[in-house]
Order: sequence, then structure tokens, then C-alpha cells
Amino acid sequence: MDNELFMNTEFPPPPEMATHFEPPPSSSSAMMLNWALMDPNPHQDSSFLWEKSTEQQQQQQQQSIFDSALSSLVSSPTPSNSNFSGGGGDGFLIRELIGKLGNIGNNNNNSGEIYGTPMSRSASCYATPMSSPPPPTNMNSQMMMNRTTPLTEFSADPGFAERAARFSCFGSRSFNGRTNTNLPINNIVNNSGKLTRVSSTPALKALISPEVAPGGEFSRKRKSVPKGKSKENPISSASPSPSFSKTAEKKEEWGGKGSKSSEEKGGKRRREEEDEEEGEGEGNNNTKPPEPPKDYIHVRARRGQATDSHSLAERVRREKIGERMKLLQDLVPGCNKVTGKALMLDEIINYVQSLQRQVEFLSMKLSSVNDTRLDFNVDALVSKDVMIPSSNNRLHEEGLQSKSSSPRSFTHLPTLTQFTDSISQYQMFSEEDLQSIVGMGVALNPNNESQHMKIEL
Amino acid sequence: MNKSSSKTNHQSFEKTVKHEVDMAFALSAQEFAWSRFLQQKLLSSPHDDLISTSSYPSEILERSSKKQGGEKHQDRDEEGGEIKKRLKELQKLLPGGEEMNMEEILSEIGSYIVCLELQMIVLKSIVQDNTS
Repeated sequence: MDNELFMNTEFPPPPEMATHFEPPPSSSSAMMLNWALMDPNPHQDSSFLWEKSTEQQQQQQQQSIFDSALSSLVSSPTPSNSNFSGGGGDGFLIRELIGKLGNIGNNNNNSGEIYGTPMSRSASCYATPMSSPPPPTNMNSQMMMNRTTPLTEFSADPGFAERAARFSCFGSRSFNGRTNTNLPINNIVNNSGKLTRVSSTPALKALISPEVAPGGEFSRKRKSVPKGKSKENPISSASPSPSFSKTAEKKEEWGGKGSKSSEEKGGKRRREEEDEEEGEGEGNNNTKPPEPPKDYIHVRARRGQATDSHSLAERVRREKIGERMKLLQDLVPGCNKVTGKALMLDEIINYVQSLQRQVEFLSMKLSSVNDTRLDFNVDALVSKDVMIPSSNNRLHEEGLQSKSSSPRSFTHLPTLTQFTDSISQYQMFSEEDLQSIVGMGVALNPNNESQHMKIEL
Repeated sequence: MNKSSSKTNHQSFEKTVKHEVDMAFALSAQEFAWSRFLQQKLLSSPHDDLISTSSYPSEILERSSKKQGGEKHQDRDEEGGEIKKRLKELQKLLPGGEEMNMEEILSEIGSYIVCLELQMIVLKSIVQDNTS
């Protein structure tokens, strides 16, 4: 029988398995598995793939049993599955299963639902014993696994709920992170009603949000389903199936809502801030910026929001402005504590003004300092050519010549040379542009300077 | 008389220095709109005070008065106007800001601030080097 489970593509075992597990309905773990095994029957859903985290390896035997049982489900893909086709369908069925599993879990434990992740790649981990690392095989290969464990052991597994939950718990970021054994299992078992994490295959990660929605409803906040790019997409698309019943619909709804609401929340804040810009925004609405064609893909019409192009463009514009304000916040010190656009703009204005004043003050100081120094180093000046881009060498040399030729501007020349002297010392500046440019500035201006200086003097 | 002449010399010299500094500043960041604007302005009219000190206190006073006025009303409707006022001021601060719209100003201001800070560092070092 077990071999059949693993090898054949039909779905004979589930009924048998179901019969196995009906007896112990009291145990939640058994119940879950029971249900999992049972439900596939009517839906001919055998692909019940749960991810195995590394922690599973800690409970080898029990998990192995579980794995084997699950793998039986997995291994026996339902050819008669009419609800889906191919891998996407599998995922859909898995979702179904998991949804129902969660429901049953809820019924039993008032706990959060479990997400089963269609393990495209990690399905194999169920079949493999804990000691051996799960081979990176796909589902097909997994079906060939010859794990035979008595299914009856499922019911007897006290930690089944734990493991089941663990399997279904989607590691949000990394599998490695899930090293602690105290996973949502406790939640499920302890009636906490929380599925902490949703482990996900890399493919699933795009779809499933790692957030945990409190409460026992089957409403995990999923990443925006429309954004899913993996093969789990068919799952979401195929969700509205009668068998999926309320769970699927809820999930989809929630997923859609979640994504939108998150967007909305994110946008709401900014919208509040930017509402005042509506006046300005209106002016720019007519001019469709070139980005909207591209942004329309990313910008979704939020719930309750107008979907015309004007409002969308305006929203995009407002978001851009908000982003820039955030960047400015980082630049301007002390802007973090300030909230609100107006105040932040105030801070920015203050800061820019103070910077400008400081620069001016420093330049004045520089002029006063350099005025006292009358060192004139022509050689140094000439040697500064290296700093200056070759294009300006001519200018520089001309400037030098003009400098040397203007007798009355000696008092000024030193300052210019001082500039270059000082600047040459600051080769350390990573901004090479600055050096050369200062030199350039010095070089460029002598042409004008000398003339002006003559006029001034 | 010497003093006065020297004073004027000094003033003109200061202008020159300022001009140089501004030019260097503009040249140091040529990829920004404000830099190009500043450069053009400098080249076209080197004697103008691009960053006039006299305008600073007036601007500050202006802004503070606006602030008080804004605080009096404290309406959300006023916020749009306040923000616009501030944006206009920002426009004045930023070289070439008059011709930019809101988005441009915000993006240019960031680079302007950074370059101003850098310029300050450079000038400080130069001054320190010359005074020590």
C-alpha cells in the first residue's frame, strides 16, 4: 500500500489513509493529517507538499513518519484532478488542502490556519528521512521515493501538529532562520490562533507574505497576489474553486486587500501630507510625465481611489515628491524630528541658508587671510598645470602670463596663487573634480580677473 | 585715503575671492542644473553677488513672519499655501531655482546641500592652512 502511495500516480491510498485516521479525531495532529488525507479524496488532491525546515531534522523519526505520509500524498499526484493542470494545479490543490487543514485545525484548536506551501523543490524533504538532507528534487522525482512508513503512525504522532505547523510555517526570509523548534506549532497546539510564519519556497516567497495575521481565520496577509510571478500564480488565479470554499476566497480577498490596503496605508500617509499639493498637482496633471506609462504598471488603483489617468499621475507625482522629501530628510540634520512638509521645508531652507552663509563667511575669511600673504610662487603656479585639465592649460598659462604681466595686480595674484597652492595641498580630497576645478576656476578667471582687476584698481 | 582705497581693494578682492569660490563650487558639480546655472551666471556677470549676505536676514525675517502668520491660521488649507511659500523661498536660494518646478527643486536641493557642505569643508581647510 505504501508503495502504491509513493509510486503510482493514481489516488487509491487516500481512502485507505482516511480510514486509518478517522479513529483518532481527538488528537489535533491526527485530525490534521486525517483531514489532509481525507480531503484530497473528494478533491482528488494529493499534492500536499509541506516544506520541511531544517529543524525537522531534529525530530527524525516522527517527522519521517509524517514525511512519509505526506509524501504519499505528494507522490500520488492526482491525475484526476480536474481543478488544475500541471504544477499550478498542484499548488492550487495544495492550497486547498492546506486551507481545509487550517480550517480543521481551527475547528479543533481555534488556531491559525496552516499554509501549505506547494513545494516544488522541497517536496522531497518530506520523503527523506530526517538524517538525510532533502534532495533538491522536484515533485516528480519525489514521487519516486520509496519511503514506506505506516500511515497509522500518523495518528499516533503526538508532535504531528507541531511538525505539521512547522512544515506549513513559511519562513519569511530564509530557511536558515528557522532554527528554533518553537514554531507556530505551539500556537496551533496551544490555541494561540496564530500562524507565526509562512515558510515558502523561493517561488512562493513572492506570493506569500511572511506576516502573521493574528486570529484564527484563514487570512494571512499575502504579498499582493498580482505580483506573484512564480508558478504559484495559478494558485491564486485558480483559487476561486468551489472546493476551496470560503478559505480560498478569503485568502484571495485578503491577499488582494492586503496588498491594496498596505499600499493604501502607505499611500494614505503620504496622501495626507500631500493633499495640500493638490493645487499644485492639478497644474501638472495635464502634463503627463513620461514615467506614467511605466508607472502605471506599478501604481495600482487603490481601493476607493479614482482610476483616471489624472489622479494616477498626480499620485505618482506626489509619491515622487514624498520620496525626495525623505531623501532630503536624510541630508538635512535635524529633519528627522520634524514632521510635516512645511516644517521640513523650513528646516531645509534654514540649512541651505546657513550653509550659504558659512561659505560666504569662509570665502571672506579666505580673502582676508590671503590678503596678508604676499607669497608669489610662479613656479608653484606653473606646476599647478597638472591639476588642471589639459583643455584649460592654455587658459591657465595665459592667466599666468596675464598675471605676471599685470603689475598692479600683484596683491591679488598671490591670493590666486595661494589658492592654487593651498588647493594643491588638498590632493587628499577624494573629489578630484574639486581640486582641478578650483584650479580651473582660478585659471579661468584670471582672464577675466586681470581685466576686471585692472578696472577695479 | 590709503585705507579707503585699500578697503575698496579689499572689498573688490573679497568679491573676487567670492567669485572664485562660487565658480569652483559650480564647477565642482557640473551635472546638476543649479551648477550649470550658477556657472553661467558667474561667467556672464562675475561681479554680482550670487549669494548675497544682505538677503539672508531679510529672508529669515520674511520666513519667520510667514511662519507666525501660518501659525495663526493653522488650517490644513493653509498648509498648501505655506508649503508653496517655502518652496518659493527655496527657489530663491537655489541658483536657477526660479525656472524649476517643485520636483526639480527638491531633487536639486539635495545635491546643492551636499556640494555646499563639501565646499565648506574645502574652504575651512584652506583657511586653516593659510592661517596656521
